[in-house]
Amino acid sequence: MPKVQTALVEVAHGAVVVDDRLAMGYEMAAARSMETSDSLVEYRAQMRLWDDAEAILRTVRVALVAAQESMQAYEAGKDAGWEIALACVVSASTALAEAASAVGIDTPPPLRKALDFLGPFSKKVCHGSL
Amino acid sequence: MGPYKQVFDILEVIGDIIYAISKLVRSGKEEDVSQILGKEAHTTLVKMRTDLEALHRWKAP
Repeated sequence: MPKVQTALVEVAHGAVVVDDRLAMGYEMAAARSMETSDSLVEYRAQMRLWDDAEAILRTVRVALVAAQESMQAYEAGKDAGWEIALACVVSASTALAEAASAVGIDTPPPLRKALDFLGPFSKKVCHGSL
Repeated sequence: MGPYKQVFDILEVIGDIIYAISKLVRSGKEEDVSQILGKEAHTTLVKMRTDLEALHRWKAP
């Protein structure tokens, strides 16, 4: 499934772009929130949306590596649940796009295209909290 | 400038050839997702650092 692997690579590149944008935005938001907050609780509350995006970004990274490994296992003749792994990549990346949008960060078009391509492959349900 | 320009022109051509070869090699082999992602997300590193700053700011005695 070379096209699926290519799409996974595109999603990974997209995740790196989103990560760079998020990191820059997080830094500025943290500095602003530290100035305007009177307590750690208030600071955490102001940073909630950014923290959500950071947590989902970590999930996307894990899902991508798991999907690639399951694809490689499938190509080696083992059933490693690649359809579920792809479903996790799609749902986590879609959640990342939403979380990034909530803090004003756009999803790179190649990432959206790759997700559109992977969508039909992910008919299984991603188990977990996503 | 004459001889220097020739040297630069030759170096530029060599650079283009190396770039073209590396592009060919890369197109023949899929990239690895782990390598693209790197060891840690930048955002996570920024969060860890700013969390420490926030803790220091409000929790320090």
